[in-house]
Amino acid sequence: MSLRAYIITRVLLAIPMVLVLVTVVFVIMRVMPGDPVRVMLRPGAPQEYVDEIRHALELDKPLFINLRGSSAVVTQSGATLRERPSHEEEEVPLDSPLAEEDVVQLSDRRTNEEGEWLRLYTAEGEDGWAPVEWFSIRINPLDSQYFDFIFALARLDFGESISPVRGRPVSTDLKAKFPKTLELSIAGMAIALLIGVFGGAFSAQNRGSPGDYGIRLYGIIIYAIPVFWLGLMLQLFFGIYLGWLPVQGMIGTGLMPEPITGMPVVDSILRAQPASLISALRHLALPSITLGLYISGAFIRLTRANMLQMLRQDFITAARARGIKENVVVYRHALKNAFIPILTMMGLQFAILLAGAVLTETTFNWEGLGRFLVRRIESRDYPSIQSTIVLFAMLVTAVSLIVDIIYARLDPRIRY
Amino acid sequence: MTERPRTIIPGLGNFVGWFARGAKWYGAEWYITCAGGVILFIVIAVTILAPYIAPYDPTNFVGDPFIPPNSQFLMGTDKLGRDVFSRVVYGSQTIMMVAIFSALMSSLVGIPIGLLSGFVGGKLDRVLSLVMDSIYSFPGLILAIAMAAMLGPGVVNISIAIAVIYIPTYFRMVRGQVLSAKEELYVEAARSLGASAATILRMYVFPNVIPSVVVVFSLNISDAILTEAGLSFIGLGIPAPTPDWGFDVNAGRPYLPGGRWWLITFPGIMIAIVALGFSLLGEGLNEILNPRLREA
Repeated sequence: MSLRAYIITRVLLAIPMVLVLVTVVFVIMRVMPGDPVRVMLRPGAPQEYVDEIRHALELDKPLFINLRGSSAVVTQSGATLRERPSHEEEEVPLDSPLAEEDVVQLSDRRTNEEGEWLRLYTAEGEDGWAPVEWFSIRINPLDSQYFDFIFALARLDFGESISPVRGRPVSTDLKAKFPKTLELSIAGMAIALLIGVFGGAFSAQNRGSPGDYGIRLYGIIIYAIPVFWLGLMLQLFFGIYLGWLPVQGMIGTGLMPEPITGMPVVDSILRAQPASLISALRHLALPSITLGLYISGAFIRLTRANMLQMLRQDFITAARARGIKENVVVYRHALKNAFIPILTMMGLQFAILLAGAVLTETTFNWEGLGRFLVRRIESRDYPSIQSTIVLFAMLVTAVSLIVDIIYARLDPRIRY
Repeated sequence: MTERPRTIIPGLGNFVGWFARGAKWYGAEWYITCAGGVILFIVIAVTILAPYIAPYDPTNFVGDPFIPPNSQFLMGTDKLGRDVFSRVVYGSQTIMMVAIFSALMSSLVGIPIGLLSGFVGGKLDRVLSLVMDSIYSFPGLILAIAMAAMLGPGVVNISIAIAVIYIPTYFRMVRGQVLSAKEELYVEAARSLGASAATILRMYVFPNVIPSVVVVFSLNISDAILTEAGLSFIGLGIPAPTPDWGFDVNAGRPYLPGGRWWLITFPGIMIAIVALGFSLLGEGLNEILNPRLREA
């Protein structure tokens, strides 16, 4: 099929994938055992706080489908609210009495021996229980947590933080932190490619030599080393013992250029500030080397396997027969053709890169999305935890989409 | 009858012969598998014999804090004066428990779903594949972080959080095997003889699945170890004072600029060694059980 048709099909396929991922995140954050509100508050918090926050976060709505009703219209004047669903309970004092035609929000519905009761929130924010007979209920099945979540994401509304700063839109933080993670990821991927591709090519070229075995051994071992420990060891060696490179942060104090893209290195170049550029590069060195080493293992193996196959091809023998130097044969002719699977691997490794970035950013205090996620977990800010993970899901889907399309552009055999 | 040659260690000759035959038959991968096996043997021995190997109680202070490694404290003491060596030895129990528990859970859930989905096919298969592929493509650590944050600390909760990440791996692998086994002639023959679906699954499909499952299981444990260490490093793992390698690495971080390297180096290197052992074993078993065509 044509490239355009493939692109359209592939983009359409991405939508259910994002939906599934986002639903999985939703299920984890809200459906699984573990009360998000209690996660946020310290254990032993009074029930009123729990209820208030639960209502503010709209976590008292039904999860998936709202057949219970979302709002109610008062049909009988003189309606009173009670603390608990019973006629003997205390009345809740109201600023202004409920009149007919008033609309109140519904948050719970319960049936006991005295009949069916509704839990209501008035416009002024008071809440209490009242019998169902005094109201006429409006039902909107899509007024549930799940659909609110999905529709908000479709509007790219990522919610508001609760702590440390209440009411701060999460998207502000996400927009600020994303370029930092992007810079680290690009640098890390570049280093991984350098190590992986040239290591793998060298390994294939000198097959059976000690260098080959050494590189293969490295490829196996680097998988097992925890990335945060690797970062810490590099910190120890290059930062503390040798003192060559800084071990924390993205740039020296006071040197951060005014953001254009948000990435310290790029902004330093765009603003022509050499001192900032040098500082940014020095701070980028250790984290990106850590991340790059972590990812390189897969690239080494893949490149080596592909190169071994490629070097057996006829056109390589022909090139050698024409007298082309061996290095040129390997590193230009063979490598260029082995590149396409490497591209696919870059897409696959992106997920691992993100996971590694979370740990690396924590190790080096690099203020990107990963560090943000960890910080918000520590302060138990439920909305930003959820939104950051959703953003990760969208990034992963977007990258896999882009890689597939580039792959189809380069290799027309792939389109189905 | 000729005399049997006298042996110093009985059975050693048989063992050496077995080792040499393996090396000759399987080539370089044999050494990898055996290296993995040796590492694992030592690690499992340490895990089981921890109370006898560790000289001190890992949760109580036994000396001054921040003593560098010396003859009394083989790996030094941490900030509370606890012996790092004992913590490392007991930490192997924690991490092995979590890793094996979560791998068992993953396989027990992933394999039956994979079998069912591959065998039944149709819409169920398409839906399940979509869900599993989506989870598979997502960074596992981040999913584990989400679940651990919601479930809270504790061995069981962390194991569940880690287990969910690897279910798609088992699912995909088993489903692939089932799809290819379904086409085999002997399955068709069994079906025409009236064998029920359960019988076909049990007798013909499942035995094909087992070799790959063993490999994935070993690699799964290796990954689970690293994921658990990552979770503990962030602070979402097993709470103190249970000795946990990832937790110790995180706890030792502030003291690194002061040159106190032993708080971090030893737990971290143990994580690497154990993960390496399982992954060597898994890779080697993969070569043995699913031999690739030899490179020309």
